Amino acid sequence: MTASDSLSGLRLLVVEDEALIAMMIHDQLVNLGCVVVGLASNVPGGLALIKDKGATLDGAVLDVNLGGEKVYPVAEALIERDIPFIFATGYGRAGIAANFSRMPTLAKPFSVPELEAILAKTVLPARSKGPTGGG
Amino acid sequence: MTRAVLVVDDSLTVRMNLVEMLEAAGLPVVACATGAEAREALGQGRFALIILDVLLPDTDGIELLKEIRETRSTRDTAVMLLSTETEVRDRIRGLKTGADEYIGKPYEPSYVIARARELVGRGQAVAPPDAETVLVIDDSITFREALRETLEAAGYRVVAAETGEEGLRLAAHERPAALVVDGVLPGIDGATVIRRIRFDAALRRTPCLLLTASADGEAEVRALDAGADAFVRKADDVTVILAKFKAMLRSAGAQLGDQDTASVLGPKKILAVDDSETYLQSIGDALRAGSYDVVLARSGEEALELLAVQSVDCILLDLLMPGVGGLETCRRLKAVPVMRDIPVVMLTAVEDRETMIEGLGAGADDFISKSSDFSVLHARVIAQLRRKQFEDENRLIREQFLQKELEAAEAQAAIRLAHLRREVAARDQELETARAQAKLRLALDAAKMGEVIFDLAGGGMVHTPGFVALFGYPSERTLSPDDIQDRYHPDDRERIRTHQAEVMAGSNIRYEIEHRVIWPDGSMHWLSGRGELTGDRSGKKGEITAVYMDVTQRKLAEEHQKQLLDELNHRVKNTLATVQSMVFQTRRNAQTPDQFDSSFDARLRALAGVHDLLTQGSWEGTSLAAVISLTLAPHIAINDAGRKNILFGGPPVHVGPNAAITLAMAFHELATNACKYGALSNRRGRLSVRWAIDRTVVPMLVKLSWTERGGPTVEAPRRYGFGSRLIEQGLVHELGGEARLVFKPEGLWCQMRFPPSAKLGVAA
Repeated sequence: MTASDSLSGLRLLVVEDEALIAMMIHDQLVNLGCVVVGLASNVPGGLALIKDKGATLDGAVLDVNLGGEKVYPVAEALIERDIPFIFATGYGRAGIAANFSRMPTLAKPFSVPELEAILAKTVLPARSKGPTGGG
Repeated sequence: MTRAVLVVDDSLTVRMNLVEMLEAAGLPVVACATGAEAREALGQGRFALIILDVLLPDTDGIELLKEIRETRSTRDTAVMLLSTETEVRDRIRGLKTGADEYIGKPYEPSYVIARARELVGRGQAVAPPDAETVLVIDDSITFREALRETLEAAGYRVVAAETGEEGLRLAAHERPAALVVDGVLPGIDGATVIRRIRFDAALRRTPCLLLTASADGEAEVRALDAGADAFVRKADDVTVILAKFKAMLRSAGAQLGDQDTASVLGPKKILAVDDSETYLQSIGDALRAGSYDVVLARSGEEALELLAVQSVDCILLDLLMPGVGGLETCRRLKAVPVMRDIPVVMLTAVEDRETMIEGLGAGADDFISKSSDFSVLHARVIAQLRRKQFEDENRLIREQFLQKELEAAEAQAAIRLAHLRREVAARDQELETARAQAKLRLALDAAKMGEVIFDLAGGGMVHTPGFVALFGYPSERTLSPDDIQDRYHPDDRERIRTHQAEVMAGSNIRYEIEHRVIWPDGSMHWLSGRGELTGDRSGKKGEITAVYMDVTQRKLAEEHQKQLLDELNHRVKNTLATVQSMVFQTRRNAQTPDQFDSSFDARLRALAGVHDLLTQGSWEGTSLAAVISLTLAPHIAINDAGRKNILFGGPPVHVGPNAAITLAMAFHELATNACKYGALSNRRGRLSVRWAIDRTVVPMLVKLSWTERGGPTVEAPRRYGFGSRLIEQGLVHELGGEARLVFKPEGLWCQMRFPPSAKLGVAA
């Protein structure tokens, strides 16, 4: 698949608190040729991963509600570093805070083609012009 | 058609005389000589009057009279009796039988004709006088001329006056048929003009129309008070005035007919009372010569008896008589109301002062000496008759005035009653309103609602105590608009202002708003207001009446409900994602479709089980023991050694909803493996699940061991399966810490160490 080819090698961060879902997202991304650089289940974990590996990240997939706490600090850290990301949430767009409501959002449950399409649209363009691209 | 007069008399002279005179007076006559002839005539037709001689050759006149009164067709016909019998007794008998008149023979022909005319004309309407001259009194020349034009167009002759005084002079001179007078005049006013007209004997019957400023009840009373026959509003059209004027003349004409029956020129009857037959006859002759009918009585008793049935116009009474004397007779008849006004002239032989005083004291109207000439007597009688006439007229005037006053008083009373009723109704209404307001207030208080009225022009406001409470102020406080604005939630101020501006601009008459307020104690409350703009629609002068209530509870409930719905939606979506993941993982690891089916089915059941558990606890989490029990309870059995195959336990550990799902799925994988390959796959094996809290390390750890013994010899799996991954990666990902699976030959051993977190709670 050409899309998969194009996503190949994308270095992504996943923040998702539920183990089963995290495992699926991980597997789906790997199937798409992406590299899951980090898998965090909470905000401190996510922030730590950005701090560690931010320089090599092409993008992120963020669950909004992490067992009660919101993922927004992680989102802010990514915006600060110009790293594109998508939200994946059961709440859909309506459940996202107003200042993030324009961010690309995947409604759970989502299909592989949906995940692929939104990544192609959101993360790819940034990599092609970003200084860290070409990995 | 004029009915004839029936004359019944056996004297040819009398018949001829009466026939001649009656016909000359324009009355047709039928004459009979006997009672039989009379009965025949009466059987054939109706008569306007029957003149009946009492002494007939074949019949007693009184008997015939009785028959006439008892016969239906003649019952109401006037009857005049003629008799030579001058006995008072006969006269009384005749009158009592129903005669309308009793005239003695020799009769005075002119009296008979005058009375006949009266009796024939009884009940016939008299034509109203010429109604051509109208007097208009008004100080406005414009109005005078307008009225003149209208009245002249209607065929009247109009004389006009500018003032009341001039009007009265003109009235005396012109004798107008009617008078129209303005209520408001320079000098004497309209009411006074009418009053003076009413006091003038010559003018008092002139119909008067009073022009008033208004047509209310008070104006009518004032007009009636003044004696006006009609009143009309000056502002009305002249045609309305004309119509009212004509109606007034019509009713005035009808009245005049009744009043004219008592004319001065009418026939008069005089009663003479004296014990001297000679003197009586002399008086009779003398007075008959003066066209009077004279009745003679020989004593006071006779006179009194007669007067009970016969009305007379004047009484001549001898002072000295046997039996009841003249003075006593006079006293008695003056004591009877209907006789009191009949003039009494005392006849006396002696003319001393004391007797005169005594006579006058008894009620006599005049005294005359028997020795006087009969011409003097005649003159005195005429004087008395005139006086009586005058008095009668005066009495009539007085009665009319009394009647008018009575009517005015009744009208006033009616108006006062109407006023009173209106007042009572108004008070009832007030009371009802107050009651309704009290009820409303109670309802508002019960609903914790407050009412407020904003005066847009003055900028002020009035409110109920309940309104004050809505803003967190003590309820006895009186609020200013600033007090209210201070309490608006900062985020809602702009919205409230915009809304108010719309209402003020008149683009909305009604408004509904919900906004937050911050009470002085710092707490936030939601208020809901509904109002309406009343009065000036432009909003600059009107007022806004509004009812507010505290809807904080409702708002919180709404928020809570929304949260619940969002949460439910999120949970469903997450659950679907979890199921999706299970499908994904199961497919990855299944070698055959059957294997996929059974594995997925078991995993879905495990997921459903933990959902049930969480639903029981309102999705606020559960205990670690409950999650483990859920997974292992179906497998508990007694093994061959006579002991329980599964033992588990540990201190209380709280598990959050997501962690519970992951843990339940992990234990499901372990239990499934144990049932297939491990300690639960035979009847000798034992499984022990123990956990404890290690508080010696920082951070403290929840340590759990899954230990299998007695099962078949364990071999490490060739593939890294879903269960292993879920435990070693998934659980650790979600809960932190570590988890390890060791496939020892004597049995599987799994060790987990998790730090406490929001998802995994332990008692401090």
